[in-house]
Amino acid sequence: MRRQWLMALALSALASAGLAQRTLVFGHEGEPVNLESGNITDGVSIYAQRQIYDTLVDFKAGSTDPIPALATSWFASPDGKSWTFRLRQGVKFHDGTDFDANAVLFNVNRWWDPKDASRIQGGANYEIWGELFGGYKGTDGSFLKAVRVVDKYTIRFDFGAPLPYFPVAIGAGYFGIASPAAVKAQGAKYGTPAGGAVGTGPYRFREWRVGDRLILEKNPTFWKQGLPKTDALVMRFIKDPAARLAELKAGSIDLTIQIPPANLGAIESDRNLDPVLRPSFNVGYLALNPSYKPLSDVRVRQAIAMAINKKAIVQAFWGKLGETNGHFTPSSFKTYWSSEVTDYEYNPTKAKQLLAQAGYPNGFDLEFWYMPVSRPYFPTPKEIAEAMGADLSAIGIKVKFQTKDWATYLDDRKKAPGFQAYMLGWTGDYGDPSNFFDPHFASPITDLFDAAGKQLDVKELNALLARGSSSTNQAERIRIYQQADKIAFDLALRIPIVHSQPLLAKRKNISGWVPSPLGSESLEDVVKTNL
Amino acid sequence: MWAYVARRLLGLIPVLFGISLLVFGFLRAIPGDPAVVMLGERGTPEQVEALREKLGLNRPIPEQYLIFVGQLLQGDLGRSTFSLLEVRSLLIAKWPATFELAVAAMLVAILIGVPLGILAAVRKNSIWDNLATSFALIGVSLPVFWLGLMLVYLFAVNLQWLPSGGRLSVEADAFFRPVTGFYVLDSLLQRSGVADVLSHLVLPAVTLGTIPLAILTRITRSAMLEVLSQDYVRTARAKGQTERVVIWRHALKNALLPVVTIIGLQFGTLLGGAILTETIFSWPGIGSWIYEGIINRDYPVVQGGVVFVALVFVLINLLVDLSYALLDPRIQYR
Repeated sequence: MRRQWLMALALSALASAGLAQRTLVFGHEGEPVNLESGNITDGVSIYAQRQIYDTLVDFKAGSTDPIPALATSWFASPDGKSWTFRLRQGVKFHDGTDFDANAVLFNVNRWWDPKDASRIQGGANYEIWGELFGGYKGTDGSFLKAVRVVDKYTIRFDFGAPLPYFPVAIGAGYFGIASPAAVKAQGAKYGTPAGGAVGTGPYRFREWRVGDRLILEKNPTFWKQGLPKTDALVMRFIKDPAARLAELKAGSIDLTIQIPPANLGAIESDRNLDPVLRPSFNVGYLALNPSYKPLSDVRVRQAIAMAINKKAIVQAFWGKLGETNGHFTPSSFKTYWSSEVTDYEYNPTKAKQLLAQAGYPNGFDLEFWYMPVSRPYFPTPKEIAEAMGADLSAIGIKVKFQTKDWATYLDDRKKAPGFQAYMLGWTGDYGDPSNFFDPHFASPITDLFDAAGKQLDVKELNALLARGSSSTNQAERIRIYQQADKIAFDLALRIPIVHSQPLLAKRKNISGWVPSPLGSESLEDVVKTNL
Repeated sequence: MWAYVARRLLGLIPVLFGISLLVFGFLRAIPGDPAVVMLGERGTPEQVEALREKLGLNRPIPEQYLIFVGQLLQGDLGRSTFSLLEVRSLLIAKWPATFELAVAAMLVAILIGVPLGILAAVRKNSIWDNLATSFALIGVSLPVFWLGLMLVYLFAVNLQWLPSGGRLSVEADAFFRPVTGFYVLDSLLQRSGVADVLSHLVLPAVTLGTIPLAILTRITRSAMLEVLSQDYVRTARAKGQTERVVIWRHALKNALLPVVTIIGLQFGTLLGGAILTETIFSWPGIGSWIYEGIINRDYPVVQGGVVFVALVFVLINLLVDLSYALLDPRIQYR
């Protein structure tokens, strides 16, 4: 008996020593909701899906430049209303079935067609498709009119109007291509801990222990030769950032994401750790609602933009992990920035003069809403709000801070007349400026209102954005979004406070990790060496 | 006694009915719409409306309650609105972790707290008494979150003696397969991973057990002091019984009733989950799960979770009541 125990112990020790070197342990910020692609929008699920699935289009490491993935090339029709994708041949799903145009068609139909038989009913929504592409099959707004298999490795998408950004949008992490055979076989279980998920990506599903970890193993038939570089990937669900950092220090995880910026110094000074910065792809802003009297005057809004010492605030709360520049889009979209936009200088005196011109020499009372939750763009909303409030009080604006629980906050800001001033932000889905401008400035704007309590409609900006979304001429698109950048800046309806770089961290023996600005990246290139 | 047990079990029905009504009512009374939370910053009013329809939130509230109770009576706790997973299967997956941690924490509390309380009472006003009462005071006063993080930094990060979180190391995945979800039991049955599983239990159990430990120390001390001043103890001493016999056979057994009551209450509370400890140690229990359910307005998760926790709490208290008869033969159940 005793010998058996000793043998078991020795075998365990041997097995664990080998496994430790070949297994990458990722400290995830939470547990995936589901692994069914196209049906989930939360970042935690998408990060896990990114390891299992491939998308038609991928992005160059660390950038938003599209590169081939499951599609080897793509081209638009002369009128810009159709996109044709040539697909990679010889790719197999983890279950051994072939990847081809019919597999893509199967996935697209599941996302786009509410009547598709393979849809998991009973709560699933596939809302991201409708959000990015105007609606679903059979609805008036749907951009997509038809999707056709041209031949075994060619598929064509037909739209009602030109959709220049379709290749980058379909490359978003939401749209991993799943095995039709696996989806059909698992039915409602697909994507759950009981059913797993099957893609063509670098790792295949092995086990999902609810509340604890997701265990993936190397896909031996991965179409990228020599990848992934580790035999297994374990995603441990560690929601608390302090706990994640402690585990990283203790060496029980190899790399992790979403560490509060205040920890940068502690990571830099730890001889076992390296900080890793994700390129900024977000905006944290202060929205000013013109349905309220003082804020309906653009001079008042501009005065507020001038009174907030954004540079000092960014320095204090983000240090080198944030930048502020007046542009609504992050620096990945520099091409689309207007050269006429230079941020409002911090000038309380000038701000007071503007207020006086607008008829408020003694300031006014302002309800200022701050988020009750932490987000990469506002990691400590209350403290940041207080800093902004202090600046506003210097020009006579008496700030009354308000907050509500997150569900109510999101809900109530859209109920007319909305909040007076409130903090919120956005993290992009794909590398096109329309993804930042349209949800915030295209009509109707659902969370800002006019004096009559109607959803705000900025006609000039809306017309511009409509042209930008449909133009197939890249030079023209650049001009359009540069104009939109300038108009949005002058309107000061949403004052960009920060574009932040999310802080990630790894052990020193981890290399090859290049974070994507889009929020999730495959860990196929990551190498773990012994120290 | 069996008639008493049957009566108590029948009494569960109105209790659970009341709890189901309360949890259902409170969830609907607090502002915030599940559809809005699910769709987040991006949801349009049309999408919110469509999702509300799909989740059945457009139905009249009494109808929603009847559906919930109807499902409950069939043992169906519904599906999480977020993950679409069955609440029952989620409970089955998470409950063993909570149970294991609660048992370990109570063991820490009982094995240290009760002897410490006895020592304090027997050596009343001595340095031991002062030390034990100070320890108890510190125990109830320490914020769990702070204590947990300090233990992690000391024993996991700096000394590297114990793991910092989770229930199992990644290395143990190579040779250990959880089957029942009770990892201690699984590892003993498989004769593998025992040390790994136990080492993961130590820090969370100490963190979670600190408050019950402190409470038990104080309760044991005061119960013992009361019993030690009773006539029968004086009589036992007068008859020449040794101090050990007086304390262990005469005093402790009679002092145990309030101690067992507190153990039952504390254990029942711990079985409801421990949000802070679970968070610090990434422990996949039901406390943080129900808490997230509240934040996400995941009605089926909160309703199912709370009803289950209430059921467990009531059953534990029933067991405590039954144990009185074992401790005190004068107590009989009719």
